[in-house]
Amino acid sequence: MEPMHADGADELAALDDAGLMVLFARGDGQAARLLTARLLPRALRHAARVLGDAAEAEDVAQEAMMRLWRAALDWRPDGPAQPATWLHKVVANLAVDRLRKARRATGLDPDIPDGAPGAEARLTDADRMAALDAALATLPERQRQAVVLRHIESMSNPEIAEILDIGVEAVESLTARGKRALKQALDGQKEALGYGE
Amino acid sequence: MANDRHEKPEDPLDALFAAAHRAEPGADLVARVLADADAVQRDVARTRQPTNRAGVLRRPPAWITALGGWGGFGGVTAAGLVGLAVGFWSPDMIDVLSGGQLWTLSGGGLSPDLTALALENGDV
Repeated sequence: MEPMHADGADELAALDDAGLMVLFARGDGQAARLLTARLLPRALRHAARVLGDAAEAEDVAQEAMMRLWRAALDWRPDGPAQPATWLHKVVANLAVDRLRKARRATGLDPDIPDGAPGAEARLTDADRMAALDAALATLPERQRQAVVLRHIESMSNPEIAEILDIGVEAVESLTARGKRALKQALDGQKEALGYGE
Repeated sequence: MANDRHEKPEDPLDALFAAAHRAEPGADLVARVLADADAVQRDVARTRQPTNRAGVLRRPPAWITALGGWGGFGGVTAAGLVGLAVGFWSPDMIDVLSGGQLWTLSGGGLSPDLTALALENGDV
């Protein structure tokens, strides 16, 4: 019994995301767990870096995953869309909606986190993320999304173009300008971030 | 991209990107997402059940189809029941409707005597 179960789990793990979507639609609980392990971290990272707010990012990631589950019921495994790309597109749209709502509600840009930690403070990943979020928040929305997808999620330019509904050249330009602006914003904080000589 | 990050760890921006890439969801969020998945799968299972029953009505078995579908089956059944009722409540009507042939053939009994047919010499 045990080895058969292990074989089944291995076979399932060898399936691509689209295959797991089909199994999910047939009621396979293990497919749901595998898809969650593969895709939820990506959705959460994307949302967190674009929104700069952990709680909002969790809401967006959960909502995006919920839409993925519903979409799985009609998913065509031979279709052009990849579940990961599809999910990032949903996250991008949900995040932009939240940013715009926040801007309309306050009349201001969403809070830019104060990310420059004190030089003497003991730095954690959370502090560094706050610094990164603060720098990302200074970028225009699309630039921010493109930088996150390219440099944190390591997606290709054509994939990012599909997610953001723009051309590949526009992606190249957005990521290049975005990375330059981030470098500039973080240049003075090298030591404070614990990356000094 | 991952290579870029490993090749230049001294670049603060690349180091930050690498740290951002390591971020993982908490157990609470994972549990909520799996609960959502479970709810969607339960909904699907619930809605598929009646669909299967409706499917039998929409696609009847072959012998029902041979009778003309559920409509034909209903007609044959109704005709049979009417015939049974007439035969039970008013057997004389059957004799009238058949022009006296059936009653004669049956010899007045409940079942027809087919020997009359076998021995008949053309005047039945």
